[in-house]
Amino acid sequence: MNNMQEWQDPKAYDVHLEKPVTVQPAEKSASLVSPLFKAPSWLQLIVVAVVFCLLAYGCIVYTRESSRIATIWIANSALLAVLLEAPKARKYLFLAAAYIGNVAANLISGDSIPVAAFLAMNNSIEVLIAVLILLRGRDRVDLSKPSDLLSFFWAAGIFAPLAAAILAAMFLHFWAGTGFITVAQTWYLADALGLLTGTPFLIARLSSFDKKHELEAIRQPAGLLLLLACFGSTAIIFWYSQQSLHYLVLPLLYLTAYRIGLLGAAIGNTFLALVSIIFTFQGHGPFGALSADLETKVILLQLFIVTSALVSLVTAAIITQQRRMRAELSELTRMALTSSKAKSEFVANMSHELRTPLTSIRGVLGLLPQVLSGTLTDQGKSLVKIGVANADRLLRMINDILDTEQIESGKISVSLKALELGPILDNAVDMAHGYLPEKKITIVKAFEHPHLKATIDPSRLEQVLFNLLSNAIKFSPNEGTVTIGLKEIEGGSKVRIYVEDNGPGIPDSFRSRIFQKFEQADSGDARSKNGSGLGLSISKALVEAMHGTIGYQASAPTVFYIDLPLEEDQQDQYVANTDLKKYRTI
Amino acid sequence: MAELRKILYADDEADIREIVELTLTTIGQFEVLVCQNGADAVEKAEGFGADLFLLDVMMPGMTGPETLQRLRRRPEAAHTPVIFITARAHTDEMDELLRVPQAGIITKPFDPMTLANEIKGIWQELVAS
Repeated sequence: MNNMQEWQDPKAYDVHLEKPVTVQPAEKSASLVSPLFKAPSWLQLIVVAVVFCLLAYGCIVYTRESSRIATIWIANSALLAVLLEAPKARKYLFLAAAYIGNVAANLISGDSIPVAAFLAMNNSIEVLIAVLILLRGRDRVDLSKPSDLLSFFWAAGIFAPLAAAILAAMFLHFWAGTGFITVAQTWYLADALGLLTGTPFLIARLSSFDKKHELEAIRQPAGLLLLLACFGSTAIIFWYSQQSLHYLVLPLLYLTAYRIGLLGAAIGNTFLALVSIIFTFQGHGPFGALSADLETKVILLQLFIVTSALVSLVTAAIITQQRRMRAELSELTRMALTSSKAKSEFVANMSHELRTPLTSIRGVLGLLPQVLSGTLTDQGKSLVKIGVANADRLLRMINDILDTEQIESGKISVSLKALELGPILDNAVDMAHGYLPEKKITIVKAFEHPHLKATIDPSRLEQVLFNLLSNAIKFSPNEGTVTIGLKEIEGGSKVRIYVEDNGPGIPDSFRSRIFQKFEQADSGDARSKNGSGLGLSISKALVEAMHGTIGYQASAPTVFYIDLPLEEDQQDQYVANTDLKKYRTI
Repeated sequence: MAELRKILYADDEADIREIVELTLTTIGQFEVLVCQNGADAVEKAEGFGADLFLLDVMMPGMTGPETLQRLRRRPEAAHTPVIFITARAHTDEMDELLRVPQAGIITKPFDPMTLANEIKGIWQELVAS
């Protein structure tokens, strides 16, 4: 009797709603550049200037080869990441700091002041264009969203570097007489590839939910093995292979992105970029072994890196998206279950709370004629009757609501017994006699075989029959006739209980909704016909729980019927009787 | 068949207590010992010799089934039938109540005019079984 214990506790009467839950699993998230913004603001600017200067100097000195333009340009990708993540008010300060760092790097590597200043400005313009396109009034870019990823490709991979490349090529053409196409091409490729490869990893934003999941994926033996295999194959191919076997690193890289998500894609691609660039510069691997100048080798390598980075990023973004959706879905399911449980509990408790005062009201009204016998006038008796009828009506509605809730939560249970149907129909008719007595309806019993048995729950069947009878009474004209009948159908395999009235029939428009909840033939008329509109939907559920079917004949006279399987021993008896009749006839 | 005469009745709702007492004494002509809760019932039961326990299910302190357990500890009351009065109409809860030996159920609200007869009917069935 566990739930009896529970009732002892006054708190058990309360409905406990769980505290609201956040559906979005991404609460706190951080990217690789996030730690920068925790430093004092003056330090942040110095760090940006110095780091930009070092990256720019490194790229210029180590990759510039013969032209004035670096073939690998990762400085802008770092700046773009910082600007995308920085607070709005400080974005331009960081841009200025990077500009100073850039000019310094250009000067140290031998550019004249105007060239150093212009090329640095060109870099600033490029990054600014990308930032303006990407943010468009938003606070941040989420590369785990495929739509944001696409606009990132467009802004950082095409528009911004192309605009800067054209500006730079024009300037150097007029200032130093360099070939327009060569400069534009080198600038575009170096910057586009740099932005596309570097920035995503710097701003990849993993929520604690994603991070937890992805770190777990790495910790599992299969995930760890996959990552190690990815590292191993990359290192071997870019050190030993003299043929174009670089594409062999891709399957393991994509599999890593698929299994581990953004973190897997970031780790795999960073390793690929580092190892392949270092080995290629040393003359190893598929790109190092090419018979071309270093600039061409590096551009081809960058194209490869960027392609692999883009595909694995998109894969990871889709996987992350799906994982978040699954988590949201399971969270929503959990919430739905919790609230449905709370609703059930609420309905049960409310039903209890409503019944208690109703018991007093019903009791007082029932006892009044007894207590006041002799002194109660006819008018008084009539008022008491109205009170009793309305208390009963209220009770029926409370019961209907409780039943509907039980049906919805799948808790409705019937205790089935093989019983004779005649007495149950009699009980239902007795109950219906008290319903709207002022209408003076005659209830006619037409029982072909009152002793027919079916497997039923007697109180539930009485409830259904009372419901059909009260509907029939409700819709019959005053002093009309309602017939309740019982007969065998389908060659004696089933028994049919039917209720027929001489009311107006069921309107066409209502027929398809007749067994739905809260539906009444004419909702404008609901008050005069009274009732919750739940009766037929409950009746249907109850009859089905007794393995029966409920149906109706819509045109007048309206007939509602319930077909129930006849008890097997009755079927045998029926067949035996039929045979006997045949025999006698012969 | 023995006759139902003495009913020990416990309910924490004062209004309902008054109605039930009036019904059972005037219409049913029973001798009714009215108790305000489970503990009160356990205290007063001794020496009354109830033929039937009529217990509200949800009472503070001790629930109806718990009260019954205490009442039936005394050997002379070990087989006294019980009728639970409940306002909870969930079928599974009713089934649970009916698993108690020698128990019947009346749901709230009831018709006071027929309550006495209903109680007598259930009691006779319980005694006969």
